[in-house]
Amino acid sequence: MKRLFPILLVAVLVAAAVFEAGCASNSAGKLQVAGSTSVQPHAEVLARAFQQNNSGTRVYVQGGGSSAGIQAVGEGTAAIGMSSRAVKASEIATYPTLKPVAIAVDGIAMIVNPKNPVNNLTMNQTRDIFTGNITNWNQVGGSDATINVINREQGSGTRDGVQTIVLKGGNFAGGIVLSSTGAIRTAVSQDVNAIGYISSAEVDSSVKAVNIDGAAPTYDNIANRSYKIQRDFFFVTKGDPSGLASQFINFTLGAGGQALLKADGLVSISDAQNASMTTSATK
Amino acid sequence: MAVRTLKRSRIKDAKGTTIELILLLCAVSAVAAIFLIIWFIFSEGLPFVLEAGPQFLTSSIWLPTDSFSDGSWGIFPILVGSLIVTFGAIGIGTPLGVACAVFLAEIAPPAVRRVLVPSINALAGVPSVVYGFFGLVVIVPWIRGQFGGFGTSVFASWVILSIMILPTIISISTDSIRAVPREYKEGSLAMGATQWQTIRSVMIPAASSGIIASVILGMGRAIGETMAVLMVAGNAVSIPNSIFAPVSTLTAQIALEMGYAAGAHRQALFAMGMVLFVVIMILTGLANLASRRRVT
Repeated sequence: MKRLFPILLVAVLVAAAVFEAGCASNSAGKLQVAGSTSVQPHAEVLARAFQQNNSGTRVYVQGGGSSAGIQAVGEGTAAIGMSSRAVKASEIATYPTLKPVAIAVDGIAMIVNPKNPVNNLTMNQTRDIFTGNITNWNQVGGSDATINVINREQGSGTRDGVQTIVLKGGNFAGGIVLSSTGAIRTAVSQDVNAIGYISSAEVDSSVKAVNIDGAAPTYDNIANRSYKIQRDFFFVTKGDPSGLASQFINFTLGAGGQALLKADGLVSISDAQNASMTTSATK
Repeated sequence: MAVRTLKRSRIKDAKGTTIELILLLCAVSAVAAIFLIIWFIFSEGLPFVLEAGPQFLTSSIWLPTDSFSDGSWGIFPILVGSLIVTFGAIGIGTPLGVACAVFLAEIAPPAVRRVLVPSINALAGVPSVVYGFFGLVVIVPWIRGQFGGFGTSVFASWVILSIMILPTIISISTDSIRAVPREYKEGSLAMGATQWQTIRSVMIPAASSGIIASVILGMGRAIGETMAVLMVAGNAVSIPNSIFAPVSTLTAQIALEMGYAAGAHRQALFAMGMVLFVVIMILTGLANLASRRRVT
């Protein structure tokens, strides 16, 4: 209990600092960006490049989650919110002037251990695994072992994406909950029988992304929408962006920004739209 | 001479009064902080509990951010999880801690004590995230290899938490065993009792209220621990069907979701904090009762 006091004090100070920085975001070359932890690493890359191009400006990128980011924009404590999901109707109701703009497309990869013989899953099998109807790997062509399902926490944009696209609004059943991309990747890399989901930009050699309905989560498959589990990443502003926020968004959507996002593993929004005019299921 | 002394003491007095005032201010601010926290948690949480009704404590469905239904608020599995994790850790930590305390207070030669006591104190200084990390990379894979399943489980949290509460149990129990009047021990030995008989029948019973207090304080630490549990428990909102199944606790659940929580979800987390607060208050009350009976 005694430990609560310093923590609370620090929290209050940080909140005050964030609030002040947020208020000042439209002047003095400071820009406050907050939200989704899936978008955060990409926004940091953009921020570094943007600061180099515009000396004297500072872009502060904070995590916290899509909901927190959208709320921060609505309350005016951040100039730009990062979201890995579309803005919800309930959020529009609270903050009617929110303006989302898609900055890139990201696949959500279903990852398993490299030692797992399963390479392909159908969308229906994936749904059944996460809703608890399929519980053994031998039901999907693997060895006789219980499937260890790993979920993200409630409120995560990635979890929301899987729930919308794969589960079609159904509920997750069973499994453990880990709170970050890195934690899920580590857990899957250690556990032969695990399955989890992370941004396809974050897949590395320690885990294996399975094909969904025959399509691997590659750049082209996400761009031409044949890999179905994908969502748009958004920057959200309150009303039309102005000043530094507008500059930063223009930079992001321009050739330079899109090239950075592409190098970072995301699919450029222009490539995706060229490939198909159908909008992603998250919208 | 006399004048000088008088002057100096008057200066000292002025200084003393200032310091007293500053100290009073510190004390008041600490008290103010606790009441602010209580007021804040209850003002955010209580309206939610009143609206959600007893279902908040008894329902097993926890879907606070579910955009596809109205959200279901049941913390029963989480509350049960907190209690299972806490009492399990106490169950493992108490015998270990008390045995260690007896060894330190009665048996260990001074040289051994000089090594053990600082080591145990160091254990208290390890940040909880480091305990969690250790659990995640050592305990969890070991459990997964030995018993199957996820590894992140009730058992993993018991192991980590029981280590974390050891310093509390050991240091307070050692003190209370040491505080038993010498005459008790000498009397027992003089009656022909062996060292073990003396420890079992005289020392431990005489120190029992202090030992109980140490266990209750350890319990407070276990139930309030967040980060380490978050990392090794698996955080699944369901009542575990075995000790190798994942479990979620009140603290871990609040920490997991607070970043995303808005509106009613945020209130629900405050209400969870309120439940936790009440449980901890009860435990602290018990600790005070137990230590008041302490024989010293």
